Amino acid sequence: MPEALRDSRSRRLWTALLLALLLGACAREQPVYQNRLLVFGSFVDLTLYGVTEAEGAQASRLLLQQMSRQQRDWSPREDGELARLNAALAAGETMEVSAEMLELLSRGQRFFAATDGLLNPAIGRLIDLWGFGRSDQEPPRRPPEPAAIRQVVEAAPRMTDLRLEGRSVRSVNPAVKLDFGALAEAVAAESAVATLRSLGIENAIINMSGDIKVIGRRGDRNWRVGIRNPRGEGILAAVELADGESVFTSGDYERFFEYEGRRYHHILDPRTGYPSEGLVSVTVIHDDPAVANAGTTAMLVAGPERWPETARALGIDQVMAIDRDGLVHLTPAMARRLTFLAEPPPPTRIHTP
Amino acid sequence: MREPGHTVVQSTREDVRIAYLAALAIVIHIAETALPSPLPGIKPGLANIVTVVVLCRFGWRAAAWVGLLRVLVGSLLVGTFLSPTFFLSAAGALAAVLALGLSDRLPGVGPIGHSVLASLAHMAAQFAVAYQLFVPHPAMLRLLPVLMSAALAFGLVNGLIAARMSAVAHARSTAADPDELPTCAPQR
Amino acid sequence: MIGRGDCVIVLCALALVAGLYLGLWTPAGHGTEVSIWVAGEERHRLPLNEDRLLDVTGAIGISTVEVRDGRVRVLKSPGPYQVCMRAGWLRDSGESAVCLPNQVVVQVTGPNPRFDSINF
Repeated sequence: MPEALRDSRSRRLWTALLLALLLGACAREQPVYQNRLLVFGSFVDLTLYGVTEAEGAQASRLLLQQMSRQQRDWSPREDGELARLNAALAAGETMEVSAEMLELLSRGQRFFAATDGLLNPAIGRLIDLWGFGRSDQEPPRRPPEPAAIRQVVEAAPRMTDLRLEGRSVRSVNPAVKLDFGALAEAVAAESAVATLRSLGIENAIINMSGDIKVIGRRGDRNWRVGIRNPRGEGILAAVELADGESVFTSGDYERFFEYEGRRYHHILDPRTGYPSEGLVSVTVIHDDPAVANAGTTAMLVAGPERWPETARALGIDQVMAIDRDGLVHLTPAMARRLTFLAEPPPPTRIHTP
Repeated sequence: MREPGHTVVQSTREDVRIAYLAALAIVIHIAETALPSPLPGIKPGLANIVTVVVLCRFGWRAAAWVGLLRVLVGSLLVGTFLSPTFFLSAAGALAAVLALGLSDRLPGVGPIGHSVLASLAHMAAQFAVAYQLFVPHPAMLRLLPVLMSAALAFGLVNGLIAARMSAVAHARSTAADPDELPTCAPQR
Repeated sequence: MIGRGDCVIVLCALALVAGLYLGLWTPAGHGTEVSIWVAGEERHRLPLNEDRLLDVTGAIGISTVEVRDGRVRVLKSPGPYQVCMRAGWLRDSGESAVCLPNQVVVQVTGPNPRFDSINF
């Protein structure tokens, strides 16, 4: 082979090799868009994969608009549809509601029925009595008077007191005051996903004050989520979420106060009127964020003995429940998903459903 | 004398040469398995010196034969054929042979470049197989930089030895036969 | 005895090995910087390897952020539930402490985060 030809050929080979290396290095740059929205009285972290900056900004704008409206209409402490409905229900009046509100109400009723009343969005008055409603208000310094709690509990506000006819809503019990709490955020997460899909965004992770919903993947791998240790610091476990899954955690550590050596937290047991006891946190993986949220709240209330029944009733098979002694209770399906990172690993017990 | 109706596979001069060199590589390979290793997965890979010298003097085809025969026959002799060790070595040898095919085409590359590239390819492939098939644990990944450093160091040393050997061999054979092919001592 | 090609290969090999150490030996997931947001905007970015205290003015007062030994925490913050202080020391890339009433978010960032998001 002529020397010159061999030379130019090999030069081309070197060039190709270097180019391949460069391209390989560039391909690692992941087109990830991140933004933090201030809404729902909290922060919503948005991570989108494979979108341009402009597409990400447009999605952020739309989601912020949508969620701000949902917050106004779905929070009992704003001046929107739910506040008007609560006023009507207290006055014993009938009110026409939006299709969205109707959906929220009927889902609330279904969860109420499935959890045997452990998840009860009708206990707005009890929540007001305790004063846990807002994260930016002074926490209560002491529990309410037992007589006041007894009075609210005995008035027995229940989701089944609501009568839905067409779009008309009324209550047969004036003690009903609706407060969807984090369930509203969970439903908002689901509609945020619908909005992202309508924009052609198929790979995203939405973190609404700690609760997560994902769609698609991050490039060639699944989304990776760390679950924080509910007691102490650091990450307890890691999990990879598949397309459409959500991971939700409820616990006694988010809003609480201590009084005479006891911890009083914001998740109330509708049966007793007092904060739930026995479990520190419950984590659920499920496709539907609303089911996941209803599940974590209801199971925290159900407690260490009875949470598996609640999980079954809601069709949830992936549960991690941590009790006061730090023992981690897992369903077999959840045990397969989690990789524990805490050192030393926590004691675990598998519950066959 | 050929018997009628019976074909005889004629050994060419090249076949003999390859067989001879492969045998040499196999002896070195086996001798090395007897050596204690400071860390599992780290070996000097002295047999690669032979492969590199063969590449320089007789081209890539011959080097490929020597490299692959060494693993096959070596494993048969040591008794590891089709065992996990065999698949590790085979993957390494195959990657090394392919790397030599590449470096042979690059200009200005001599025994040192060949040896380093082959050594890195060998280690990388072995690691990939070990990780995929045997221990797919993230902690394994922390070993990779150490293993690759060792591969680089041994690749350099073996390359220097190979360079020295092919220079000697070249000097000898040109003394005996002036038409002998040039070694792959790099053009400046 | 050493050609140009040899040099290129050896240099590339050295770079590769150095890259492997860098990529695989940095403690998995540990962050290198802390990013501090006020009202949805990034205000400060501090390296985690320099110990310091920083006062951040938020919506209702001053949140004090402490960086020490490669970790960060919120030392003091106005807010009824003290959620962000209870988050304790943060080290992992992606971990955050949210001082909601003061609209201050303290988040650890780093080159190879273990997680895309943190559930709590």
